[in-house]
Amino acid sequence: MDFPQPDVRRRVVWLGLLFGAGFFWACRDDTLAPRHGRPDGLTSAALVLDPDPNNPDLGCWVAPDPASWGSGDDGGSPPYNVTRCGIPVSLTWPGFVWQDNFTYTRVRNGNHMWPWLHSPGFLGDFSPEGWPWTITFGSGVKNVRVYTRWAEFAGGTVVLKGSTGAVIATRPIPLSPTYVAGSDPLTYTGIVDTLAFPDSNVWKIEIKPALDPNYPNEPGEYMGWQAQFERNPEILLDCGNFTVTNRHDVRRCVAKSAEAAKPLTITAWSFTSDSGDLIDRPAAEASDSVWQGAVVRTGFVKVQGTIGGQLLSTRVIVEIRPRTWDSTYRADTVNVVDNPGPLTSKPGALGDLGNAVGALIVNQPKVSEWLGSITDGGPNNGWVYMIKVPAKESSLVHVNTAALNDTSAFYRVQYATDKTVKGTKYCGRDWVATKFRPLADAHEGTKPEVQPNSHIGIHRRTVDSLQRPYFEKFAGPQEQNLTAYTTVLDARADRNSAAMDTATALNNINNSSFPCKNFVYVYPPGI
Amino acid sequence: MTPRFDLRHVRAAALAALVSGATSALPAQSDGPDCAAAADRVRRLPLRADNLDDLRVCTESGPPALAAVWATKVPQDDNLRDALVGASGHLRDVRLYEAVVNAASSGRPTTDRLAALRVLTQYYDARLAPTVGFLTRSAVGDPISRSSHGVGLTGGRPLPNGVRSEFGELLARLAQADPDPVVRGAAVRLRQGIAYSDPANTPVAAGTVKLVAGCGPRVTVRSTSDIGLSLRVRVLGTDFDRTLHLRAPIDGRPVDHLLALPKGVVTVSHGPRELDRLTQRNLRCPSELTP
Repeated sequence: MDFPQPDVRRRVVWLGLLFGAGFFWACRDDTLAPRHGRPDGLTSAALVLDPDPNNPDLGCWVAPDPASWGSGDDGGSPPYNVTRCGIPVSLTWPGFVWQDNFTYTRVRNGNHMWPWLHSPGFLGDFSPEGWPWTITFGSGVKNVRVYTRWAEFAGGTVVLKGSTGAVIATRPIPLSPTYVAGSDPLTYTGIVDTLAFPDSNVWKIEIKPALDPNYPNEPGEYMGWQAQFERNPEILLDCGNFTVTNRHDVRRCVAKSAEAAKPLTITAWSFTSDSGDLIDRPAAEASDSVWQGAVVRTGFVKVQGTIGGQLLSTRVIVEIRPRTWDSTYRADTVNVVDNPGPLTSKPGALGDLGNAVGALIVNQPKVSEWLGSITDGGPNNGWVYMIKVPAKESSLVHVNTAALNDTSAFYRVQYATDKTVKGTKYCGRDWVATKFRPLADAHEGTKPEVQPNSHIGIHRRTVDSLQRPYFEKFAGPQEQNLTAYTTVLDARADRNSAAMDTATALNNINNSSFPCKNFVYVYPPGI
Repeated sequence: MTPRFDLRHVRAAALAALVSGATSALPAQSDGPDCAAAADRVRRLPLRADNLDDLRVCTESGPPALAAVWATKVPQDDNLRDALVGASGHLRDVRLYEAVVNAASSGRPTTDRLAALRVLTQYYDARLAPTVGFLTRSAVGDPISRSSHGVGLTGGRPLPNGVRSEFGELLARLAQADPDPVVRGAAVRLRQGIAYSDPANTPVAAGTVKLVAGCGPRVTVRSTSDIGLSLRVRVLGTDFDRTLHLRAPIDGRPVDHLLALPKGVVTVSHGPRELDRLTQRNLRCPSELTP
């Protein structure tokens, strides 16, 4: 079969819409006459489906009208997809298979198009392979009523199927009282009244006319239908894009009814973070249709309201992406070297030759520099977040210079030179006077910026590597205790720092750097 | 000079422990020959820092000598008191421990009590070395000063096993009701200093942490505790398991943290102790709240 190109066909269809069915009827070729007799005097207008005055309009409708579905095609490339009343609807059928051996074989080029378009509704001539029509609704459809109108014969079924294809219900297309099979001219209207749809699912309707017993190869000839439906009342909530790239971005959440004709009365808003923290919008603002403000935690915005007296709610996710920290965002560092500090000239153990304490503490005097507080009345109103790393690396180092010199009691109790006694290697006085001091400095971290494997250096490096994403977690209710965050991170850094004493590779006082290993720590009276 | 190897043996053990990274108490050793004399000097003579230092390795004679100092003549000179604290904190012995606990909890001078708390902190953890400045002037929540090489020496009569929990209980008592505000403040600082890392040994008074049911999924965790707490909130039979870091109340106002929780029984615990349990969660929501 020779089909026109799509653009040509589209123009033809639009012509049909413009000039009406009467034009097409006038232009039809006699060869298009139905074999068993088209209803004389029946105009296409007579077959247009109008809402039944005895049944209330359900508000939304779909019909097999390619033009209104955004296509001028004659059905050659289903499915057709359209959104009606906010509900996505898809229409498919197995195919238009026109029987060329029929006496009225359609001329499908030039101006000889059969007048099959009627809006709303459809009138067409199909072979059995053209059935059934399948209408697939997106979720949210509440009720559906199917109108059918046809000529020459009537009956059939409307089948409701679930998303898996299982048959939920089958309804016969009722016959009108005046119907006489095979009689011409006839038009009949059948209404399959409301099919109740369960909520929140995808449903299908199949419309399948009965076979005309006289002409079993031509069911559904001149068949038209319109499916009216009612959508569930629904709140549409939009909070913009779902990703925030900067903690200072403002999100604007707008709620409205899915159907303008059914207004929404908002009664409540809330925000729940991904870890369960909850903010209820104050009652005085709860009826506003917009909730706008900074959002600093991933979570969902929820809105509640009534549509037609029915209480409804919906929510959307607002996702936060961790900030890309500038390298300047890090804990302040203060390292105080206080020699010898509390360490005495008579050390009792190697550990008394130096000491270092690294501590991560809340940077109290600079609170306003690192703490952001949200006061915009939005979804995270009252919460706090980090502007900068809120902590200070405060370290204190003591190297025992009271002992590590050439006049101390510690110096005087050592052997003059390195000496092995009963298998124990003792360090001579030169270690006390000069050689051990650099090791103590490097071990404790008097200059941690150039001593990465010192106690203080390791503490700092641990904090540096973890601090930025770690403190992002603080964003949230102001009842949180920032000290807990610094304490936990500090403890982790401290463990790493302490571990260097057992990690030879990181310890600057090891078997190779300090081969003698031992000092004498005994101080006779008078020394 | 000929080093005396009996004492050196003790020192060498300490050194070996340090090089190997050990930070806990060294095993008990017998007293050295100088120890009796050193103890006698501390008892009879005016206190000197080096005499106190000499007792650091005297596992038998050192504890009673130092205990006597705690009982009768805690020095008022800062350096001497630091030496007393250093030697006492180093020797982990029950005789000394009992004397220090008495000094901490009785109606002694504030300086004595603070010194005693410093020693008890070292018994709790040999690496912790709180200064007087920490105990009196630091922000509550600042970490307790530490030593990178904390080493103690087990005395002839080791510390009781429950020393850590007893320390936590002592701090709780002092923080709650001690009439001396300086000691009370020091106890709060120490208590807060260990609360996050050691909730098991940080008692929380009954009724100071509550779960309050709200409408729908709402549950409020309410704290009136004297310190900030890391509280574990769970909903039994669900995946919800979260730790909240709640600050301490300010001006006596409870700290409330509102959560949206799945259906089920809610529990809140601090360390191994369950503080509250919420089973009734069927409050109806007013119109201004989402269910």
